[in-house]
Amino acid sequence: MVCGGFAADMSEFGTRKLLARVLVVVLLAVVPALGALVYAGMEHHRSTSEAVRSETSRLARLIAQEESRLIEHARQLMSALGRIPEVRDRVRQECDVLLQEVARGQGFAHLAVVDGQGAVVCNASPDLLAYDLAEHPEIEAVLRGHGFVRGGYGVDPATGASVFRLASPLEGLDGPLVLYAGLDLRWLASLVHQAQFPTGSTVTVFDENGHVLFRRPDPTPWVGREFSDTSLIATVRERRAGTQELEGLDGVDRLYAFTTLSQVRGEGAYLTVGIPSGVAFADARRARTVSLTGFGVGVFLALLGAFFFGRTVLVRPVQRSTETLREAHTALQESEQRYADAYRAEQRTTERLRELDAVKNEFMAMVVHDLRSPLAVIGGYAQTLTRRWDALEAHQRTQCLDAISRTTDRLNAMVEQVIQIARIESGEFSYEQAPFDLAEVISGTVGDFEELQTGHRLRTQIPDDLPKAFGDRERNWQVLSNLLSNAVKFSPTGETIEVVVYPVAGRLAVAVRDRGPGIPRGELPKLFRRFSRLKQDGEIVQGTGLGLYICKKMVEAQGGTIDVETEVGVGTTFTYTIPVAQEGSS
Amino acid sequence: MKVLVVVEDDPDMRLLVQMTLGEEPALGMGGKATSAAQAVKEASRLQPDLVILDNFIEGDVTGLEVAPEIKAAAPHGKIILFSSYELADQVRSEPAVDAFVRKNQLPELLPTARRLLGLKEA
Repeated sequence: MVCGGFAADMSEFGTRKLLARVLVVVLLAVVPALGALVYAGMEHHRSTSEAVRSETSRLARLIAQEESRLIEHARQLMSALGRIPEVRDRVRQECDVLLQEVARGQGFAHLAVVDGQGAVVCNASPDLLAYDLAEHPEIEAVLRGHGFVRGGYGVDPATGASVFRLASPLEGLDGPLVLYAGLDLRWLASLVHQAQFPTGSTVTVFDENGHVLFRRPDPTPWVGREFSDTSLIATVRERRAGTQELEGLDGVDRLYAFTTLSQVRGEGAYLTVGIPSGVAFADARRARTVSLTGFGVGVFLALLGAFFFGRTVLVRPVQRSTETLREAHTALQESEQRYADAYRAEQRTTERLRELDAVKNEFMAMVVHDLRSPLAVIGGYAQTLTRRWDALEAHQRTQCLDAISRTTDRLNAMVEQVIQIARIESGEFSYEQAPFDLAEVISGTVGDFEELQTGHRLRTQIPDDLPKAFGDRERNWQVLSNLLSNAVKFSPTGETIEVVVYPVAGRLAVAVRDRGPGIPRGELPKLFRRFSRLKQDGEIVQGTGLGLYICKKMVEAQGGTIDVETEVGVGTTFTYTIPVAQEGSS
Repeated sequence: MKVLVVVEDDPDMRLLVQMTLGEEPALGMGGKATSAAQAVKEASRLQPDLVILDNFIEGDVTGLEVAPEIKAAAPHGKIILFSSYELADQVRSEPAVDAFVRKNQLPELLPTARRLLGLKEA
């Protein structure tokens, strides 16, 4: 079977596989969409970072502008202060008061006049008078003749406040003096306030050493402290400008944008703006959530659509095709089966014909053999008579002529029976199917044999109310004659031969019983075969060996059966049956 | 007197053989047999000088097949296979059979018998 199992392959399993493939194709189609979504998310993230960075840069620019403006203002103010006699002349009390007023009014956290040895000459903060400012680099620079010096952001060591340090030379009566100012960073607060960052955001300024100079909101816990070992400050000091998600000083993760503020003499300050990650990326996350949800719903709907579309447009036609294919396959198998059956039938017929041919050949061989023998006998006796007529005695001539006559009769009977067999086996032998009086046939046949005067006693036993038989009257006469002929041949002279008729199971049975020698059991299987001549004392009884075969064929053709019961030394009974005529049959 | 045994299951043919060979006064009918077993038995009992042996006899054993046994039973007896069929080739390869005569050539039977027995035509 070339396509055995094909239909099964293309059945449920095949269509499921097909549907699965459709779904995979749909999934493959939506994967780029997922990629685009991820890319869009990243882009959103990037643009958010960029926005924060841009805002931070803008703030830094504002700070730089304000810083420049304030420094210029401070420079002019400090220059003016340097020209005031109380300051130049180191009139302590008046100087202190003046500086206090200026500091308070102009936003200075610290304002002092320092002499060439670093000692404070006068001070806006009287309690810090003794503080030595000699180590301040901007004061040193001024003393070395650098004019107005922008010291940069830092923690004022005297006050601990975050300041932008400035120093300006002034010429005192007793030698050079330095006007030192720590510009308060409160101005940063108003700028930061204007920037309006989201809740939770922090703005931090710290110096090169990691000291927090400014922080909004909540300045108090942080300002003045050093955090140089935190990842935030380390990153900012390393990269100097950029954006990055980092842990803040307070441990909160934020998106930090950072940049440098003015750098003077290598001591810069850094501005960091931290926006809580959740807030910074809220839009991005919301967009991502919406996109992913949309994507999921889209994929689900696509798969659902593909499932139903696949089932309707692909799987069902395939199933229908598969069904058609399966039916075609089944039809093919049935057709193959029919051809195989026909082929086997043909083979059987051929085999049967071959057997029949062999049987026919065997039959022909036996016919030829059985014709040769009597012909040889006839020819031999004829030759003997011809050659030795005079030499033979009268009884010998008679013996020869009797033998010729006997054998000729035998030959005639044989030829007749061979012709009958040929007609029986070719189906040309016709049987009349009609009711007939079996009792009359039996009586007539027995009468014929009595006339032959064979020396046997013939008896019949026929019921008075014997129904009519149904079949061919002439053939029944032939069958009965044949059986009686055998009985006469095999029964010793003087013995009784009986013909008994009796009804049995809707039929009539005719039994021909002799008191002959019986038939040995070994002879029985071939009894009804062609050329199975019976023997008596080992000698062939004169006959053709075709009689019983013809009887069997004739009886069977009329719907009857024939059988034999025999016992060696007791006798033989041949019994044949014939259907009873039904009432009304004609 | 030469002893004859005829192995033949057809009585008319057997009678014909007897009648044909009866022309020779030196031959006397010793016995008859219709089967191979009987033939061997008669050969052993009668020690015939001549056996006329039909090929297709009663039973499953043919005359040609039983010939060696007959020869063994009666070693000095001559065997003529007598058949309707042409069996000359088979007879040549069977040393137990001394001669072959076809039944449709009956006139050759007596001369063959005389030749084998060394008898002269009277």
